[in-house]
Amino acid sequence: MDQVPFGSATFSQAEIFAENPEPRVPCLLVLDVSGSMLGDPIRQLNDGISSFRDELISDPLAAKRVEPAIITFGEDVRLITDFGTADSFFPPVLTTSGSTPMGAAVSLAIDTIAIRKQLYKTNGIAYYRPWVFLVSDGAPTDEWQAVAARAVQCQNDKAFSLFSVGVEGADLSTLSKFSSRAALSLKGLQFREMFVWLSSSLKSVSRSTPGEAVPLSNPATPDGWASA
Amino acid sequence: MWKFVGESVVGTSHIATAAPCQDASKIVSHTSTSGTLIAACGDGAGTALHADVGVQLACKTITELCELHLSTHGPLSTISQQHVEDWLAILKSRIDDEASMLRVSRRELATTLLVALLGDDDSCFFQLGDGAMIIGNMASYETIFWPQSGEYVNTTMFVTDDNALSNVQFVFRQGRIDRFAAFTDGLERLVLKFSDRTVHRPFFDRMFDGMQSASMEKLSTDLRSFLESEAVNSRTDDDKTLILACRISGFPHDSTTL
Repeated sequence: MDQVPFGSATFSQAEIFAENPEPRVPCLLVLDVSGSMLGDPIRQLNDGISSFRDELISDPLAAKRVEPAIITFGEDVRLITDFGTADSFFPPVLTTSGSTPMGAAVSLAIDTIAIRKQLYKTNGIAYYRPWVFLVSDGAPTDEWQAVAARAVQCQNDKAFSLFSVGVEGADLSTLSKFSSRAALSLKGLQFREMFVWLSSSLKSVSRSTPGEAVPLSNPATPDGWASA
Repeated sequence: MWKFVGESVVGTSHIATAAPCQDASKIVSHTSTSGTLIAACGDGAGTALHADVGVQLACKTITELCELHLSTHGPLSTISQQHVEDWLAILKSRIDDEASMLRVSRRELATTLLVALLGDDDSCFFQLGDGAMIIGNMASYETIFWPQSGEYVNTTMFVTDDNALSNVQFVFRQGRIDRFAAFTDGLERLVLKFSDRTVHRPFFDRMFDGMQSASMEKLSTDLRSFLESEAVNSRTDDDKTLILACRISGFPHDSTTL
């Protein structure tokens, strides 16, 4: 993406929106790839992201409406996959290194969503409330308090919904400070189950019409992937 | 003289859950003014427990209030934004009464509302929420208001909102309108082009051409089977309402026949 000149990137976006005027459901994954995720955790996370993609593209409407993006935080904070519909979502295999700059990652997430909304508006594309999925196995190693407060304010303003998920070893009480709802704790390394749940929730959202309650199943049940 | 038809049909997602149709419409040909047509429709909120009651109450009440105004104040040009806000305030209090009888809050009767008053030489429109009304002639169609939504595509405004009176859009238009249609959000993506905010003209050409020959009774059945057809259901699983009205050719509006 970086090597594409700004002008032609903008142009190609306009073309994509003209070809696919469906309303969009942006879903931003903010993923911890710090050193401690090495081994099984990152492997399961990568597998989970693949099943996420498979689930989304198997649903014709979701494939055209759900737009995943990925920000990773570890050695650095990067938007490694920008928003695009699920049928053009080809996430790279994630590798681990570095610490846990969660504050910077959530700050980038807030900005990335604002930019995406602006692009939708410019192109006359309707959209649903964006989802942010914050996943970590640790605690922030950078300044995070102000960003967390900003993230909660955004959620109160309905700018997006944020779900935080702690992998074993995570500081759940800090993770909870980024979200207007309590952080969930991932059971074992059930990333696959988590992403299947996420894709089916997004499928429900992408079908919802005004005034309709979106039926989301509770992930923190005995059979679910999380505990509250 | 108008030829008109309006039908509301339950969506496939509501059939699956045995939910009632939460759309409604009402069309009245007002007799005391020459040939004014009053058309109203709405879409009850899916999250509202008694959306079906709310939308029917809204269509019935608002058409009665419009008729009352025409009978007592006369021409459409006397209608102002203030009148529309007064009517909505009355409607809200009727909804409150109904809600208290049902022992629920007002928002359990939440509904959108689209209303048109079509006279010989002028017309009035007002709208709260999504769905749209279009007007046209043989050459082109235009929307009166683009569907009102919140920031997000699955949010809209309802007559039961606290700020409903400030959200309502109202317009008075000079000139004679030959073709009119109104529809709820279930049909939006079939008949409007969201990319450039225009009306999908071939759809309405076909619908209005079809209306010319059919009898009023047959129109209802035909419209209903169209709205229930696979072609429509494959594009939307929501409840859907369509109102169509066109002037009958051969009847000059300034008829001098006695």
